[in-house]
Amino acid sequence: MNEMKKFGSAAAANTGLLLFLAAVPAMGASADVGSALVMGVCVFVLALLTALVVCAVRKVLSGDAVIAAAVIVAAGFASLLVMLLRAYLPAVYPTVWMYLAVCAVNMMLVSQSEQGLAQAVRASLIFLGAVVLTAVIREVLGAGSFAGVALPFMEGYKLSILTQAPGGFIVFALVMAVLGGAKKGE
Amino acid sequence: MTVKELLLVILSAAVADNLVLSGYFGFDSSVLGANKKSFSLCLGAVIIVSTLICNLLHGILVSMGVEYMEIMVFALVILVVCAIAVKLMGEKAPSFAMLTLNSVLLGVALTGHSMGLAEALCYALGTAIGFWVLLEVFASLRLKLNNPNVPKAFKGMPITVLAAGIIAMAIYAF
Repeated sequence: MNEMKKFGSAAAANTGLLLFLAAVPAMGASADVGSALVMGVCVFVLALLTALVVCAVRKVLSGDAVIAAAVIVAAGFASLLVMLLRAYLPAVYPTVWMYLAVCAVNMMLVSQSEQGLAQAVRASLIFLGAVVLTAVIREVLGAGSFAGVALPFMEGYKLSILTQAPGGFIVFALVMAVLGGAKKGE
Repeated sequence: MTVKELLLVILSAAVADNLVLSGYFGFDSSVLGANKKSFSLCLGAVIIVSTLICNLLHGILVSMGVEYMEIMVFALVILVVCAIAVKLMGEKAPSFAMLTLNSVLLGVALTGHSMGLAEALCYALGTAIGFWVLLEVFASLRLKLNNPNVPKAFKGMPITVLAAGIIAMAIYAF
């Protein structure tokens, strides 16, 4: 399981790799700004809580047991968040819940990085930024609205493909290129 | 369900409702694992076994009134099945990290848990076939994308994601 730790540290330190590993929930929940914001906040909370508990658990357990513990903890918190979403945000729940569950698996990786809590917070903030940016582009250009509010100047210029699955790939690729290129100064 | 309906489930899971291209599940590891033949075989077997186990467990969880524990139980099942698969395959086994972190496993489990057993098996089989085809496509795509004309900012993952979007547009026509 050392490869898991190396992978986790590499992902936590490398923005490009992190964005790529977070591609699934980022693309899935970025069809509109509301879902993206909810997803980003949920992932931040999930990452923070998982890292806190795993940091404590790591002092008691070792080796493979930490991975199993990280899975249980992350999935438990994800289940809790899914239930809260179902109860208090039923409009967003159908879009977001499966991707939040998938995040639980990826949290296992972040919790394996050496720096734990700090890297988990950094990673989830980067994710929040990327998913909201992707959602803004997709909703404004694809649906001609922003956070559900119709934009009159976009009437007649909507590219509806951007709100569908292919649009998620295309817009996220552009976001990755922009964020990765900005970091390298290109 | 009739045999014809089950065949349609396999076909739609492999092509029209491909979880990777229509739901984004498993996209990251499908690109990372594209060059490894053992990865697609192992993952296909794990998808089928874990979906069947999760389908059975869903019934047990519902009868006990604890279906809210689905995500935890399914994630643990996937972890155990992946560990067993890696042990059984020995030296030819793919990376445990790449196998476990593949979101298509949890995606199929969560999508197929409320189906009948035969339908869930066909859905898992169709997903495994579709995933294998996609891995072959991504493997040949990566060779062509190693092109010096690709802008620096797009080199590596961004151009691969963009190419996947174009493939998804072709599937979207279904």
